[in-house]
Amino acid sequence: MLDVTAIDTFYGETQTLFGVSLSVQAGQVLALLGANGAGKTTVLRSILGLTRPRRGDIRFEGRSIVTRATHEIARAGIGWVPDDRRLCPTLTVAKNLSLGEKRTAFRAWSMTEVIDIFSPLKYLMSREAETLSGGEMQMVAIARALLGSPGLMLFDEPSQGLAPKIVDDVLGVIRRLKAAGIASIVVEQNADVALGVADRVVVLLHGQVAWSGEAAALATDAGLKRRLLGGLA
Amino acid sequence: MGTLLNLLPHLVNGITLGLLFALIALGFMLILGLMEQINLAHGSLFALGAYFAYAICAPRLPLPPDVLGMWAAVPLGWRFAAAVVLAPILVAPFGLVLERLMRRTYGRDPLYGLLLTFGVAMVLEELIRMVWGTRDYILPVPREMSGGFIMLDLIWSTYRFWAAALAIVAMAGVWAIVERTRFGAMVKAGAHDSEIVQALGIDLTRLRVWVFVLGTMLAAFAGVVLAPLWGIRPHMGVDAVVPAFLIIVLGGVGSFWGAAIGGLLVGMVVGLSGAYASEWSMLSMYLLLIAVVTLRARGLFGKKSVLEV
Ligand SMILES: Nc1ncnc2c1ncn2[C@@H]1O[C@H](COP(=O)(O)OP(=O)(O)O)[C@@H](O)[C@H]1O
Ligand SMILES: [Mg+2]
Repeated sequence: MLDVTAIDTFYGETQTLFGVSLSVQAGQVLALLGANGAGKTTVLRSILGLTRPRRGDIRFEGRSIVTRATHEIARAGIGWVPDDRRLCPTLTVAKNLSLGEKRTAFRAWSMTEVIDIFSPLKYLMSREAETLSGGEMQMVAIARALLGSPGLMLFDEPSQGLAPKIVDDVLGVIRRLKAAGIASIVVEQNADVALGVADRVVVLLHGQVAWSGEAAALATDAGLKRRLLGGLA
Repeated sequence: MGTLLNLLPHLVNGITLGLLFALIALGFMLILGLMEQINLAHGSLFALGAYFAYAICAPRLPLPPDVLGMWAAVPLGWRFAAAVVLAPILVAPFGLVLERLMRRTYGRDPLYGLLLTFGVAMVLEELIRMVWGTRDYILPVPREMSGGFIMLDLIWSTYRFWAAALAIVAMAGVWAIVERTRFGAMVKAGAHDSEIVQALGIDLTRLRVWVFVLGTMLAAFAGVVLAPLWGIRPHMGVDAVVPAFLIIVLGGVGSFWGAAIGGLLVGMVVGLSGAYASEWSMLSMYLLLIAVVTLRARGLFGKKSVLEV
């Protein structure tokens, strides 16, 4: 579904990603792990065309998207849940959600279905986004991406700043999307959170892929986990 | 008491000007919000609106003599109505070209946009001089809308009420677009965070074009409606961009009501100072600009408005 091949991404003249490759199959969850500053967010920004790789290729559903405009990449079916949620603070929840609504080649999600998953949304619709709690904002951000009918969701540190109960809810949603055939890349510093839902894992270290393989292999090999993720696990 | 009452017509004058200033400022603000560039040529689009209205009403159109004769035979009321509707549409392509020129400045230092739009403003002003000359024109107003009437022993100008009414209708339209449509939500979200709107699948380039067209048409509309009050002259664009600038500084970026209140405030200052000496009304606006910028340089184009503090 998504194939990232040897991308080099820069901020100005500073190279941040060095030949990063990874791939995600339909309905699969890939955990993208690594320390703060390893380049995880930059991988997502590269996929979305927000920070364009200078070299390498990114293919989605067989077509190269590496030179496409960001809105075209989104319309191809890639949804984004940024680490800072990025809701429009002065708009109501309903309007923030409606901004995300679009059709793609993938399964469409109606507002009713999305509210079915995130039932508290019902009562938040007329609230301005800036008045929401962190957990509520995360819920709106995920719902907004889902209303865009994605085939692939990019979650950037979905557990960040959330209470454990809400983190469980978020993981539940990722599992539900997976069951519905939607693939995900879950960026996490908290490895255990991501390993709970992931099929495969890519570990980044200073902008390079340090390890990739089955999530189960990493989860069961305490030594490997400690070596790759150090204090993060 | 008597003298205070005498100020009433000037107050109405101020409100009318203020509403029209607010319209200019709203377009200026929408463009500033979404492009993050100050459009100094915004006033020139306003001036073009006034000149096109003159061409339609006078009528001075580049048409074959017999067609022009037929158009001139149409009652002025209809020609004026046509100007109100058509002038903004005719100015829109100028906005489109300007937006295209400004694209290179998006995401860059606002200085680039300032210099570019300053240059465009000069070019448009010279173009106006080339086509229409340097003389002043008066936009003819239909008899039903012109003249005056006496109320409370005071003389009131009829057209000012018409102008205020037209401005209020346009303001209501802008409010509805910004607050009640998906387009308005896209504009607000795009002004706040241009990356996320694109990542949601919204074509920011196209959105910017439409916002520019909307801002251009609002400026041109204000130019048509203000022309009978201000007269039409090449420099009128600069006289219009100053209040817009001032209103944004006073009312903050991205607030509809900030622009409305800021507009009324500036209009009132111009209107009331005009009560004492008409030559002071424009000068008072520039003095207010200097005062506000000197005292509140920190708040310039901040998200917060001076009025909220
Ligand atoms: N907008 C930016 N401009 C310049 N450097 C950046 C920017 N964003 C991130 N970086 C740098 O790129 C590196 C990788 O950042 P990031 O991808 O955010 O890491 P992670 O998400 O893994 O914490 C860091 O060294 C960071 O300082
Ligand atoms: Mg990050």
